[in-house]
Order: sequence, then C-alpha cells, then structure tokens
Amino acid sequence: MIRIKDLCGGYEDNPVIKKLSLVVDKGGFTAIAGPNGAGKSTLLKYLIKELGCPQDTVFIEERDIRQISQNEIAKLISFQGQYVPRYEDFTVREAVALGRFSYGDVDRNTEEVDRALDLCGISGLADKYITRISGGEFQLAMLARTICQNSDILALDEPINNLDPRHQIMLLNLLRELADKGKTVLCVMHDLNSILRSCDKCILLKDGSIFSYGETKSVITEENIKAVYGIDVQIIDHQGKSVIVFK
Amino acid sequence: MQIKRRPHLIAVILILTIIILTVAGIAVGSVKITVSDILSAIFRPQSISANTAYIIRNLRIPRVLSSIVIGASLALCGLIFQCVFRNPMADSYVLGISSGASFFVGLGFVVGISFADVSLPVVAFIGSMLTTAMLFAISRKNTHSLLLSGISLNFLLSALTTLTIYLSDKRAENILFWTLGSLGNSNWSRLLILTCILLFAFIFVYSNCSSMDLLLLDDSTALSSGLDVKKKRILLLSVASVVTATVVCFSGIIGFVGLMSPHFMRILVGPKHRRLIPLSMMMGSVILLFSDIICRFIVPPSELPIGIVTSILGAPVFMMLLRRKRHG
Repeated sequence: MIRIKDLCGGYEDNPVIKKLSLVVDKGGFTAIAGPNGAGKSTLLKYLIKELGCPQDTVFIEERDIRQISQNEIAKLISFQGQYVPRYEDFTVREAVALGRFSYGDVDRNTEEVDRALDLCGISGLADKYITRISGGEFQLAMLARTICQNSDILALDEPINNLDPRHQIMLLNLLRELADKGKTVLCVMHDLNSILRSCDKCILLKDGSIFSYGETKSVITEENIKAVYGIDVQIIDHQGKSVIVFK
Repeated sequence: MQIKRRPHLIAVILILTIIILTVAGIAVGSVKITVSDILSAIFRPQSISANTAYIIRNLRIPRVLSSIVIGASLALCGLIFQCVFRNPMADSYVLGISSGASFFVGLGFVVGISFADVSLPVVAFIGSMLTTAMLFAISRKNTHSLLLSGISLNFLLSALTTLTIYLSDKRAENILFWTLGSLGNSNWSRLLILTCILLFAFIFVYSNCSSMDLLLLDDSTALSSGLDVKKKRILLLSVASVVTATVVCFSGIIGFVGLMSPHFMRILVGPKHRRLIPLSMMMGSVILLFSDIICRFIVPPSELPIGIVTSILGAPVFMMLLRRKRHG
C-alpha cells in the first residue's frame, strides 16, 4: 500500500506538487493521468526517493519512506523511467539481470531473469544487444528488468509512449496480467482510451493536486477531461466498451 | 561479435603479451641484455657482471614492473571516470585531473618542496581531488558540458603548470618531467607504493562491479534498483583521484592510456565491469609496456618522454571516439 499525506514539493525553482494526499491500495492497475507539468513523473520520483520528502509524508507498506534504505525500497517498489538511455552494449539478459541488484545476485540468479524474460515474451532476444533491438522490444526488456526486481509495487512512467499499437496492447495486457496476479501497478499514461480499456483506477492530476481519483469510469468523464485538459470529448459505447472520441 | 563471448581467450592473449613485452622491456635499452642475462640476474646474479646485474635488478625490472602497474592504474582510473560520468571519452588526462595534480606539484616546487619530499604525493592528491570536485560540480548541473569543461580545465591547468616552470627556472627540469611523463625514476620502493594503492583500488572497484554496471543506465533506474548513486559516485571518484594522484606523482602525466584501454576492451568483451575491469587493466599494462619500449628504442642512448608516445597513439583513438559519438 502507498500512502501520501500533504506532500508539497518538486524542484528548486518549480514546486510541482501542492499538498497532495493519496492512498493506493494493494493490488490493481492504477493509472496516473493529467496534462504535462501536472506532477505525474514527479510523484513517482518521490516513491523511489529520487526526490527527498519531509518526514511523515510518504509511506510504503505503512513505513515512512525516509526510514527505508535505498536497497530496501528497491525490494518494495520497482520503477521504470520515462527515458532509459541505451548507453552501452549490454545484452538483453545482462540489462534485465540488473534488476537483481538489491538482492546481490545480478550474475547468479538466472532463474528469475529467465522467468521475467519469458513473462514479457522476449526470451528469444536474451542474447541480443540492447542497442540493436527495436524501441518496443527495449521497453519490454526494461519492464522485464522491473519484474525481475520481484517487488510488489511496479511504478512505470509512460511505458507505452513511442510504441506501435501491437506493442502497446502487448505491454498493457502484460501489466493487466501482473495486476491480476496481485501486483500493485502504478502507471503514468497519456492515452485516455488505454486507461479506460486497461486500468482499474485512475488518479487525475491537475496543477500538482488530485483533481479526481477513483474507479476509471468515474474519473475519465467528459466533464473531467474538459476541466483538466480543456478539450471537448464525447465518450461513446462501442460493443460494450467506452471509447473517447475527440471533437 | 562472437569474440565478445571469449573473455578468457582475450585474458590469455593479454597475459602472454605482457610476459613477452616484460622480457623485451628488460632487454631493450642503451645496454643490450639477453634473455639468459635476465634469468642469471634473477636466479644466479654472481654468474654475470655486477654492473649488468645491477642494471637488470635495480633499473630495468622495477621500470617494466612500474609500466605494468602504472598502465593498469591508468586504465582503472579511465574506466571509473568513463563509468561515473557516463562518457566514453572521459579519463584523468582528458578531464584535466592529471594536470590538476601536476600543477599542484609545480606549485609545490615553487614553494620549495623537493622531489624526494614525502609531502609531494599529498600535494598531488590535493590537486587531483580539487580538479575532480570541480568536474563533479559541473557534471551535476550538466553532464553534456563535462567533456568541454574538462578539456578547458586541462588547458588552464597545463598553462598554469608552464607558468610555474617560468617562475622556478632552476627546477624547470623536474616540473617538465611531470608534464611529459617518464618511467625513468622507477625504483623498488615507488613500485611497492604504486602496487599497494592499485591493489586496494582494484579490490574496492571490483567489489562494486554491479554498481558500476547500473551507473551506466540512468540515475532513476540505478536508484530504484537499490543503488545509492550519489554516495557510490563520490567513493569511486575518490578512489580514482587517489590512484591518479599517485601515478602523476611518480611518473608524471601519461595521457590517453586510461582512454584507450577500456575502450578497446569494451569493443571486445562488452560493458560488464566484471570482465571489463581486469581486462582493461591488462590492456593498460600492454599499452604502457609497448610505449616504454618505443621510448627507449627510437633515440638510444637517450629516451623520449613516454607521454609523447602515448599521446601519439591515443589522439587518433580520441578522434575516432568523437566521430563515433557524433554519428551515434
């Protein structure tokens, strides 16, 4: 469980988050949505201690994040950033195995690595270099790295951006599957249709605060989208599924 | 690309090359020495002339062993800087850290510290640490400007070192030694200090292989994987600065070995530090042993400063890297 209480902060000259309070229960697939600059990525950075927070503001499994070591946090929450550079010629297997760092068995635990590769459907890419696979395959490899970390919470920052529709669906289905197995998936997403299709809950942010939070269908409404993004949309029913049509 | 799967073969080739170059390094010089002379000097020194035995035991052997240790040290430092700053073109020479140590040694001469003074390594260490701290402060704001800042620092500190040469004309020769690099002052006691420091540095760095692998990704990924990025960076940079300072103090500025060795090995065995660290160090030893032989071979009985040879070998590699980075 993640609990945030009256969190304010951000960067030196840009206080992005403004008095934000939130409880994310264990399990389920929760999307974080909102316009650019609303504080979505910043919120995730607090969860991995990349940004320091005051005492008694951020709790993971009811423990104040300030009291948890970086190594312990890695065992509680795994994170995939918006942009991971492909700086070096690691093989996919080597890059995925780095997720085992907090357990100290990066070069030994081939079982967990194989399982993560298999779950992401990229076992065939294991010995290819990360600089020589497609963007979609790289995103899947990075997701395999976070799965390999074996934590209960997965925090992902825009994992489906820049992916073709096939890879988007593949990745969202995989996250859905993980949530169904009991993982808490917290995912920054821009595509509102994907949120409607795949997520259980949605946190809609505006100007560093929560504008709406709850079941996806009750948050992604025509009125809320107009209020947060300033655009007119129509939500229609297509074969029993809600679809957003932009006017 | 198949060769990336053969680190053991590469290790064997490098070890054999080091053995061959070590023998060649002892044999080459103004006094010609045969392999049997070398064996005699080691096992039966009474069987050859005292002069030859002295040259082999107290001049040539410490010198080639220093080449091995200093080459490995420079490669290790280069590898650390390239990893911490996530830049394949970083090394203690290019970033001006060697020049920082050299400038402070020059300043030490101006204020009257002698060559044999024990405070000289401390002075070199302060110079190298201050330069590293400046670079670290710059790279925290903007990693992309690191290389240009380092090159600028290198120019500035080299110019200031030249200034100290003018200010202390009588000691100019000693300071010049630092700016061009030489293994001519190698002896057993210096070799012992260099070896001890390299050994400690190697143990520390090798025990942090996985941390260094993670540092190659990005800060958020490294942090969320459980690495205390800031602390690890500072520790690794401190180790690299201590090794750089020691090397500069005993052999002056020897450029590009730290740049070339990790780069060659990365092409051959990939970026995993568990393989890269020992192999890069061996490669550094090979490059320096080879360069030292060339120094003594070209203009006998005199010798060229080793920094000239390594720079001639290394500058094209640096340009190649720049080209690759631009296209990459």
